[in-house]
Amino acid sequence: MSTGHSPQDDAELEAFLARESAVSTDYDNLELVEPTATLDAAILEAAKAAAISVARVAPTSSAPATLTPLAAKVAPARPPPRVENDGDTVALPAVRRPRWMVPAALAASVLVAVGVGVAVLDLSPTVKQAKSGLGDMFAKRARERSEANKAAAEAAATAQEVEVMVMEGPPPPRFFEADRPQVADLDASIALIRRELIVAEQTELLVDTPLSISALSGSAAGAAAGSAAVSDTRQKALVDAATAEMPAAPATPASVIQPRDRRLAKILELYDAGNADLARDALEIYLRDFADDPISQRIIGNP
Amino acid sequence: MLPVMVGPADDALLMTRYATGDVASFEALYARHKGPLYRYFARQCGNADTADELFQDVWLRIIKARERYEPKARFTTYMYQIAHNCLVDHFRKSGRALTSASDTGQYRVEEIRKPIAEEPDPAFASGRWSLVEWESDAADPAPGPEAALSGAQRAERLRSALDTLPMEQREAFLLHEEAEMGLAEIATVTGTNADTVKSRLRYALKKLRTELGDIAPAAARGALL
Repeated sequence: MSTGHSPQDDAELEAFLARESAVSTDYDNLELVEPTATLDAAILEAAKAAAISVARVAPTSSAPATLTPLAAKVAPARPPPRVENDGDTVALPAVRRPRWMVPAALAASVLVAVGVGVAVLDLSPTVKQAKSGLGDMFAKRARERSEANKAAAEAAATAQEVEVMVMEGPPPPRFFEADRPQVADLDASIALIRRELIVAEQTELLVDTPLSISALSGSAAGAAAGSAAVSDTRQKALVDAATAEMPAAPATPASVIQPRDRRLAKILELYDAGNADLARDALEIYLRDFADDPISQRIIGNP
Repeated sequence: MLPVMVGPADDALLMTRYATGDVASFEALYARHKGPLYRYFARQCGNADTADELFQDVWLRIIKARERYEPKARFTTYMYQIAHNCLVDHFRKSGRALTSASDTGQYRVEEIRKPIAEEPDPAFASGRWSLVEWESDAADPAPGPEAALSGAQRAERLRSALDTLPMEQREAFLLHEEAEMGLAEIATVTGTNADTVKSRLRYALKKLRTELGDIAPAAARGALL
């Protein structure tokens, strides 16, 4: 069988392509078969239903029963939602979701996931370094933020400690106060203390033995005359002076040694033993403890 | 009311309008192309029910794809590409296979389970028809001029002769006669090249000429003289 084409074949083909051949003429004489009217109606109904769905209008239920399957092939697969209203079913307009909703939802999900991941990395102080570049960046940022937070926390704690120390610290001791009693002249003060102690002893003796004093006064008036009267006067004056100079001490038994006198006696002992510094300190403590005592007042006022 | 529009650009415009919901545009488009498309299927299948099914399938696909339609080519090319695919799918489902016998455009229709035509023409009622048989028939002497045949008789013989053509040759012939396509468009629709289409048409015309008993078309005869 030969596959070559003769010039006659080529001429015949050219005439056919130009629709000038007898075959074309004979073909035109063939019966013009057409689709049936039912088929036409079904296809046009399907096209109309699709166009209506494009316009987002609910499809009508007036389509012929024979055309429903074909229209259903083209119409949206999901039927329009229906609402029960007191037993009546009402068809709602078909709502078509925009095409961009799915990609937009996916993109939003990715963004949220990335945001949560970054937040978790930032909040985790013990995050380890990731091997990837992104992980390294996140880990570095997390470390920097962790260090900054730690430094800020330490600074805040230090400031709180200082504040607590300032607010709750004990008051400075009174010993270091500038207006504390000072002993300007220790020797004069010791002499004053010594004299006061002697007077106090003598006064104490006079108070404890009133009968002897009155007897002394009576014997002096009866037995002696002239010269003895001078000594009686002096004794009496001395007793009056001692009584007047005595502080308003409480009425205590004479056998009990007053702490004030004992401490003064101790100061004298220290001074007499050659411990002038200790005597000075003890005297200053005494002045602080017995600031209202007449001896203290006189010592402080003693130049 | 739509203005009177005729032409490929108008087809694309109508399709674009229909994509926006204009049903009238689709009706105009359908009225313009329903006859040629239906005859394309009717001549190919030889069965009205199958033609109806394929015809309906093509239009439903067009309706569904209305929003994705882009007027890159003629609407006719777009529509017959869909039709070609539907036809190939139908033949595949019905158990027919198309195999290329050579690179010259000669194709053999191999019957797998049943005869080629479900309702074969009485002239080929034996069901033994094949391209090999046709080749042997073609080697027989032509029946001779039959100038006395009427137009209706010639048309009937042509219809019978079309049924004897292989599907590719018949498809190329029908696309030219019904869709008024050239070689390039036929090649686009059938997924081949223009030379293959030209070869198929040559073989188809030679066979039809033999069947019709013409020695040479009048126009071609005049060109040769």
